[in-house]
Amino acid sequence: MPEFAKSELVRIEGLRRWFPVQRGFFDLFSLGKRSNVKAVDDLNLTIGAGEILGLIGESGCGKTTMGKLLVQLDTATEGRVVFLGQDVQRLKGPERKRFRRQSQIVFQNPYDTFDGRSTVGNVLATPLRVHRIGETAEERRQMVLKVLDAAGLRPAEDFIDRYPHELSGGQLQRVSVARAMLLEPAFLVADEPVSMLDVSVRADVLNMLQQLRDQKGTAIVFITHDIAVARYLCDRIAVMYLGKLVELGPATEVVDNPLHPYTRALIAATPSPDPDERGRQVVVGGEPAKPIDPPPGCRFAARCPVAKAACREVEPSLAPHDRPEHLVSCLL
Amino acid sequence: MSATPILEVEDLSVHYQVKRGVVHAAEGVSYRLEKGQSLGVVGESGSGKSTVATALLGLLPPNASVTAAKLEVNGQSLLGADEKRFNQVRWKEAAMVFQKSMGCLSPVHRIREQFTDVVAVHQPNLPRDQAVARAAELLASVHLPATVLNAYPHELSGGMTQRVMIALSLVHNPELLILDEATTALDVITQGQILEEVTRLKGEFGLTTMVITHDMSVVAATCDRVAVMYAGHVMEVGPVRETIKAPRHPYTALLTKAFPKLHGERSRILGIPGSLPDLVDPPAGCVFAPRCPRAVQECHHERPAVFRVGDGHYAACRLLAGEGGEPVARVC
Ligand SMILES: Nc1ncnc2c1ncn2[C@@H]1O[C@H](COP(=O)(O)OP(=O)(O)OP(=O)(O)O)[C@@H](O)[C@H]1O
Ligand SMILES: Nc1ncnc2c1ncn2[C@@H]1O[C@H](COP(=O)(O)OP(=O)(O)OP(=O)(O)O)[C@@H](O)[C@H]1O
Ligand SMILES: [Mg+2]
Ligand SMILES: [Mg+2]
Repeated sequence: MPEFAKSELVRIEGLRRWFPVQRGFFDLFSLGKRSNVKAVDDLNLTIGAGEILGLIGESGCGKTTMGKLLVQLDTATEGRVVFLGQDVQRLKGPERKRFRRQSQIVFQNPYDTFDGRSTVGNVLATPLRVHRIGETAEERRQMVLKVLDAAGLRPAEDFIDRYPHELSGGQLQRVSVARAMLLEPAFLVADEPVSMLDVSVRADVLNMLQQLRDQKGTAIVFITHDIAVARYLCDRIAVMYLGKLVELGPATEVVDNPLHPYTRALIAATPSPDPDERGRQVVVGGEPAKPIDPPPGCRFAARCPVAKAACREVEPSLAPHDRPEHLVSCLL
Repeated sequence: MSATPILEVEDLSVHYQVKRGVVHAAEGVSYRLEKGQSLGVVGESGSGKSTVATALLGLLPPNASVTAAKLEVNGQSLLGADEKRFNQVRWKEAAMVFQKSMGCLSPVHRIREQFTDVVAVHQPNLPRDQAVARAAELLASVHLPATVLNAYPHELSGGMTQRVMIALSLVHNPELLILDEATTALDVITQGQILEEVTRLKGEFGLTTMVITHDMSVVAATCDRVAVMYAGHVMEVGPVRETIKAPRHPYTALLTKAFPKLHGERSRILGIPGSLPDLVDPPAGCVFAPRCPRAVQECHHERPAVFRVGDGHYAACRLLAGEGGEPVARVC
C-alpha cells in the first residue's frame, strides 16, 4: 500500500447529486411523477494526500458531476465532501477562500474555460494576483512564462500575449492545465486534461502532473477515458457506472485483473494503435439503463453477460474481493 | 476504387495575424480524397490540422488569410467563394464536427431546436414533425435516447454533446464528413459503437470522411489512408497499415513509437524531445529538422522535396532520395 494512504485528504460520504427532471426533459419516463437523473448516487471514497486516483467510466455516468462536487462548483443533493476533516459545504470566509485556492479543477471542455477578452497571460496571472502570490506584476509574469514553457507552449513570450481563441484545441487544453497548476493546489480535479493531446505533447502534461504530486504532494483525481494513460499515471483506479462506483483498486490490479464485468468489457474494448492487432472486442451490447429512476438491483445487470436473476433484485455494494485494497460491487 | 474526387486541395496555406507577427499555420498543404475513402489526419498539437479543415468550410476567423492553387469539394471550386456559396456547401456537400463541439450549440435552445434549425438550412419546407423524427433517428444511431431532444446543452455530459454534434452533422447526408477530435470524450465502448456507425455509412452510402485525431487507434480502426502533419506541413501520407508499420518520415517513425501500452511494464512515456518550432518565425529548412535525430546539414537550410515511396505513399524528407524515393511535385 503506498504511503499516501496514511493521511486522508478528501473523504466522500454518501454523496448524491440528483438532477430533477424538468417538465419536458425526459418526460417520457416521468409519467406525471417527479423523476430524477441520478448522476451521482451514494458514493463513498477516501482520497489520500499525494494520491493520483483515476476515474473512468461510460460517457454520461457522472464523472464530471462528481468532479464538480469535489471542488464545490456544484452542491450535493445529499452526503458530504470532507476536506482535511472539514465539511466543505460549511466552510465560510477565509477558510472558504483557502479551500478555493487549495482545490483546483481542469474543465473537460477547455473552450468554455476562458473569458475570450483576456490574453493568456492575464488569464494565468489573475488567480495569482487574487491569492496574493508573487510580489510584483513582473514576478507573476515570470511565473506565467515558466509554466507556459513547461506545458510546451514555446516560445512562451508568444503565447502569453495571445487570446484563447488564437490557440489550437490542444494548446488551450494545456493553458487550462497550467492555470490549475500555478496555485500549487493540495487537491486537483483534472477532467480529461489530455483528451486532445497527441502522444508527444501528452507526455509533457502527464509529467507536469506527476511532478506536481511528487514535489508538492498534490492529490489528483484524474478523469479519463484512456485506460492506458490511467494505468500509467494513477495509483488507484475507480470505475463508475451510472452514478455508482463498481470497482476500486490499485491501477495495475484493476487493468490487469479486472473484477467487475463492466470493467472487463471496457478493457476488452480498448482498441490498439497497431493495425495488425486484433480489433476491439465489444462484449457488451445494448444501451445503458437510463440514470432516471433506475430499476432495482445492479445497474449493469441489463447489459451484463453473466448476470443472474438475483442481480436484478439485490443491489450489490462495494466490498473487498481477494485482496483488501481491491474492491468490487458485484454479487458474483 | 472509383475515382470520383470528393476533396481536392492543392498548396493550401493559411496565415494568422497576431500581435507578434504572422503565424504560418499551414504551408503548401495538399489533400486528395476519393468517394468512400477515409483519411486520418494526425500530428502534434498546433500543427494545423483544424486550420486546414476549417478552411475547407470557409469558417476561419477574420485574422486568417488563405491561399491555394486548388480547393474543390465534390467538383465545385471554393477558391475565393463568398459566404453565400459556402452556405450552399455546408452541411450538404461537406459537414464538420468541430473540436469545440460545445461552443457550436446555442445554450438557450433545446437540442430539438438545434436540429430543426439545421434541417431548415437546406429543407426549409420540411414539416416540423418530420424534422424531429429525423433527429430522433439520428440520435438513435449515436446511441442517445430521443429524450435528449428536450435537453438544453448544459444538461448533457461532454460525450453526449459530442454525439449530438455527430448526429447533427449527418442531417443532410453530406458527401464529406470531417470529424475533428469528435470522440475525445467517449469511453472506448461508446466510441467503438460510433465508429462502427460511421464505417457503416461509408459502406452503405459511400460517405467520405476526414478524421482528425490524436488517437492512432481511431485511425487504425476507421481509415484507409493517413496524413501526418507537423508545423503546418504534410510530412507523410499513405495507406494506414503501411504508414504506421513502416513509416518513411523520421517524424512519423517517432510518433508511432510513442504510445503507452495497456499491459506490461509501466515505463515512462518519453514522447518526442523538444517542441513545435515557433510558427511566427519557422525554420528555413525542414520544419522538423531541429528535433530530427537523423537530420543532416542540408535539412536545416533547404526545404525537403516530396518523394513517392510506394503506392499512394508520399513523404517529404530529403533522406528518401537515397532510399529509393521518386521525386514528385506534391503529396497526393
Ligand atoms: N445540469 C444538469 N442538469 C440535468 N442533468 C445533468 C446536468 N449535468 C449533468 N446531467 C446529467 O447527469 C449525467 C452525468 O453527466 P456527467 O457530465 O457527470 O457525465 P460524465 O461521466 O462526465 O460523461 P462524459 O464522459 O460524457 O463527459 C448525464 O446523464 C447528464 O445528462
Ligand atoms: N485564430 C488564430 N489566430 C492565431 N493563431 C492561431 C489561430 N488559430 C490557430 N492558431 C495557431 O495556428 C496553429 C495551428 O492551429 P490548429 O488549431 O490548426 O492546430 P491543430 O493541429 O488543430 O492542433 P490541436 O491538435 O491542438 O487541435 C497553432 O500553432 C495555433 O496556435
Ligand atoms: Mg464529463
Ligand atoms: Mg485542432
